[in-house]
Amino acid sequence: MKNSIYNNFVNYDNKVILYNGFSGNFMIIEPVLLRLYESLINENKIEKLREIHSNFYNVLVDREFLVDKNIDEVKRCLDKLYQVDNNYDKYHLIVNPTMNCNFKCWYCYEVHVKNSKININTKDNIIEYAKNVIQNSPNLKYFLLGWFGGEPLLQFKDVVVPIMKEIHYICENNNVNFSSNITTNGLLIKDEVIEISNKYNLNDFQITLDGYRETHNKVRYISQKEGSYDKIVNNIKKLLRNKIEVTIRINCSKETFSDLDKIAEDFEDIRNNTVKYLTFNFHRVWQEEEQVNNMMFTYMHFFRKKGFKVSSFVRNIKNTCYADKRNHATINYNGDVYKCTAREFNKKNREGILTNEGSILWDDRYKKRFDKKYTNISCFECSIFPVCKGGCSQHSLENEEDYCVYGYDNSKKNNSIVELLLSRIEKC
Amino acid sequence: MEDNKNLNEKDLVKNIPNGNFEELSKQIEELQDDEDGKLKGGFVTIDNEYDDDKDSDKSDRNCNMIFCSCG
Repeated sequence: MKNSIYNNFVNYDNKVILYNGFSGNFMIIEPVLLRLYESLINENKIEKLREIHSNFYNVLVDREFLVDKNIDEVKRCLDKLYQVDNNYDKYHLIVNPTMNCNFKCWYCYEVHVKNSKININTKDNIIEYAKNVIQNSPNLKYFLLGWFGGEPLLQFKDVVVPIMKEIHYICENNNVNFSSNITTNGLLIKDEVIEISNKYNLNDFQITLDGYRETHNKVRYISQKEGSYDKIVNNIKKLLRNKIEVTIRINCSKETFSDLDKIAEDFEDIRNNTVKYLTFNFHRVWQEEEQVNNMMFTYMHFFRKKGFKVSSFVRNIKNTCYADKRNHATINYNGDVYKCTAREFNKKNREGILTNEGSILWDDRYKKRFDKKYTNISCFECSIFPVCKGGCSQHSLENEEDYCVYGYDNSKKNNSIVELLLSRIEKC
Repeated sequence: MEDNKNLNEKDLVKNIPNGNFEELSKQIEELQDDEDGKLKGGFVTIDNEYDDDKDSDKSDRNCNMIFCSCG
């Protein structure tokens, strides 16, 4: 047996966390045991551990910290990632009904286009495209329709409902599971939206809070005198009471940290059977410096302690971004097609166009995205590679030279492992 | 090697005790050696029960990785 290249050893609270990035297994061990393990590995005598501490040895083998000497771990990992990115069980289509928005958040990377809206022709093409995918994919089991933008609820009646209704119907007739999700600011959630969401399985909302009331209202306001915090919180509670899942995305910057714990208080009345529909998701505003992360970790633990689900920002090998997957497209209101939704929807970033026949003509950028993914060879033998995957395909596209998403900083990698462990043991 | 608990909690305004980790640490059986020089204890395993597949729809929403700048 040999020490897995994807083993990570992190000192934490006078113990050592062992984490294998490929298998996803964790152990906590005494530091003295690590010293024994390391000395046996260094002396190439790991089999001796079987005699010295058979129980420990067996667990290390069972949990894939020790792997067969002949195994090519890099190949196994790349094969697994290929399998994840080329899974044809599921199709994920994201549609931007509009690039208009009723808020003007300071950090938003998008250029808002007033009066932009999917026209009848593009609407028909989107439905036709979905129909082609559903009817011509023999292995398809799930179709996930995501709504993004702009603020998608600005075009709920005219665009979201007719497209969702039609694709829901096509899925039903082809024995494909349909579900839908939406990324919205949550201001325009009326009873009718909830009613239709329940009818067509739009069962997952992501709604952002930019901090607690006062901070949030400075960024997201209806008028100079009227903020949006209370209205959005009430709308979230309405969704939860209707058994619709909500992820509250808390955008973290130095300003938003003030009184963040009071958001937890605002949701303390959401308990019993309803709290399970709620997840908090903390995310550093991309313009902020990385120092913000430390504070963010603290609040993540705080919310978990309060009994809320908090999603981890560290994903195991089975989770890659939708933009990394073959079975995904993002269609903008004007029929332009993209992969990544975290970049401006402009001609430079476009990767294809939707045709009148209901197909997508992908261009060279799309091909380059897949050609470049997993070409950062220096990442392959990094112990955290199965977790960070060398960054997403967008990073690959944007980096010509070797790069590391953690800036080659081991302490950042270790922090990620600690956060992953805590998210696992602190889940409610 | 620097202890990453301290690393994590550097510059933090609120110090929230991490009870779950401490509880787990307590479950570690004391490392002992018997008369034959054989060791036992000194570690605890954590069940890999966390089903990330259950979360896959969430990750489909946005990858949410710490380095991602998604909306």
